[in-house]
Amino acid sequence: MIDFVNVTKKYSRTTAINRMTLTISENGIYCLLGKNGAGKTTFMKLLAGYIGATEGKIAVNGQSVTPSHMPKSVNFIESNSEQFNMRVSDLIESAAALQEDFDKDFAWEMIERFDLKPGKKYKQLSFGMKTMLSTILTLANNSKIILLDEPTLGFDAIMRDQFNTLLLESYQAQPRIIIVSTHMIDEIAKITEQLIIINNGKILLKTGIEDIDEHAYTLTGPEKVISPLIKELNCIGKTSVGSMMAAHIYGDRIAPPSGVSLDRLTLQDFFIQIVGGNDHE
Amino acid sequence: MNDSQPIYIQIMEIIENDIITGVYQTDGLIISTTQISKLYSVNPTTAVKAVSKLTDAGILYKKRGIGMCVAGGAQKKIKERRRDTFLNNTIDSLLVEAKTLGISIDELVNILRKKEGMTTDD
Amino acid sequence: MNKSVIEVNRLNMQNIKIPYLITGTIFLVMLAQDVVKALTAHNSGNMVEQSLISIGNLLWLLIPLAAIFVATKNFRRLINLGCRRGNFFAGSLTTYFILAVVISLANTLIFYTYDRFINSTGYFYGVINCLEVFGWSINGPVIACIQQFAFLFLVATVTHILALMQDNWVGWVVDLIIIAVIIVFTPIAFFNLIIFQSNAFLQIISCLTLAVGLYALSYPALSRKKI
Repeated sequence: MIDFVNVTKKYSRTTAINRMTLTISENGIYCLLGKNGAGKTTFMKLLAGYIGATEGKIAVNGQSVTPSHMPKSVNFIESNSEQFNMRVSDLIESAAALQEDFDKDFAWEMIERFDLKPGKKYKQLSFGMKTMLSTILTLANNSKIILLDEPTLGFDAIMRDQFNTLLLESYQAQPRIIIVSTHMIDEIAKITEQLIIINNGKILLKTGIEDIDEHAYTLTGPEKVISPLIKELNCIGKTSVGSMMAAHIYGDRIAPPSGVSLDRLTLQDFFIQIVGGNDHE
Repeated sequence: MNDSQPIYIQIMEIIENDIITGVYQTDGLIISTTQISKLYSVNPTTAVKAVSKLTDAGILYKKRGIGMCVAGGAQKKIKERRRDTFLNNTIDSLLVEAKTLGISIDELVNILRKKEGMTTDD
Repeated sequence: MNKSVIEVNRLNMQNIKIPYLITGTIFLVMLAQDVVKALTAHNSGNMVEQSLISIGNLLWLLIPLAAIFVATKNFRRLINLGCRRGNFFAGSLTTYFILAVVISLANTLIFYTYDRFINSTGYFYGVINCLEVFGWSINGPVIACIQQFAFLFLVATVTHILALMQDNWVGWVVDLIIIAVIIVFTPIAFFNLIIFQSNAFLQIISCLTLAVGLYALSYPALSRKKI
């Protein structure tokens, strides 16, 4: 159970999080989306107690979260995190000793599955492997809330696919709250349950992934047909080419009149439109 | 998977097709949502939504500890619903399109007879 | 002593390679210099017109270096392995305890053997060792060793606190200024208490109390340190 109440985080020149209010109470794989600088990493750091809020309250399971009271049930790894230059096997053993509730068997299973050589030292790993190792060290914990910040940085397509499977399996074995921030939107769309979009330090949207499947679509047709049609609809973006217009809608589906085609909006395109495509803000 | 319908609806149709063509028998087990999501490369949550909608419509039911099974009378329900859709939506669209293309009703009927003849020859 | 604290200590001890390297290099270089100078004096028949700094004393360098490394590099890397802040503090304190004990024993040993030996050769004007300068050796080897340990432990904790509070290099500069100011303006009485105190027991107690006290006082601020 995560609670952000009117949380603001200011740095000397910027406001990273701006009066954000959010509650996450159900287990699930949450996908955290946002432009660079929107506040995703700041959000995770605040939740993990790495940094403190300027204003507002953060609570996990009713307990207040601050850097001096880091929540025990939250495990966080930031992208590009540095590890001791030890062997992979030694890092696993150390993590097991340092963390409560560390699942060593799961960690080793993942090491094998991703072909990480246990004898290799951290600095000898490729960038993608380093990221993978850091992710495993965090995911292999049975804590109730896992935060992964860009866990697929540097992964090739195969690794990304394997990672998705790993995440899903880890979740199915241990249902909890897993929040993943990533730019590989359509890939995470395959396994995520809940979507959270952060924009300008605020929550723009929080909904289930099936909501997007059902309610995000594009109407394409002649501009003079589309324009009046979308007056009653929640249009989040428009593109015009000549006399044709494509209107991106987030709302109940309508039966398109003849001459108008209706196509599903992928999660990635939905995201692009809703945080500011070509036409708005 | 096509782009015009929500994915969960398409999954529902796939399962319904398999029911009316007899791939699944009444009280038989259908493939799991995990298998659906893997096979069609769709989000497991979406697969779950499709299955739960079918359950709500009385097409499937859950057998504890085993999985989702085909409910009695499912075939009949699906066929009836699709018959309705066909006779109304599909036929209506057909007539509108025929009119647009200038195909008369008689022409349409002849074509239908001819095509039917061809299919019975197969 | 839970396994997390033990692990923090173990990782700390293994991952202060640069401090080990610097201290070790300086130690060996000075040792080599001592030998060279001794040989020169032996051959020339002239005494070396300088006092040497005891190589055992140079080992003290490890303490502040280790504290800086632990508080800066190791802190981050431990957190990335899932270490909790509280365990980091406890584990680091253990590391400083162990290092202070080892260095203290080493220097005391060197003082009573190597330094004595050097002096007896007559090649050198004298050997300076804080053990003597601070007035601890008067109390005999055992007490002197403990006094030294207490002082080194204090140095470690203070360095750790100052280093941990830093978020960037400006902080380091401020630290150095603070230290300089303190050294200049602190009444000599303070230094009498922690170093020059003739009553060994009082010196030991004040060092240790100060170390633990400062650690505890700064804990609220340190625990709020952003990562």
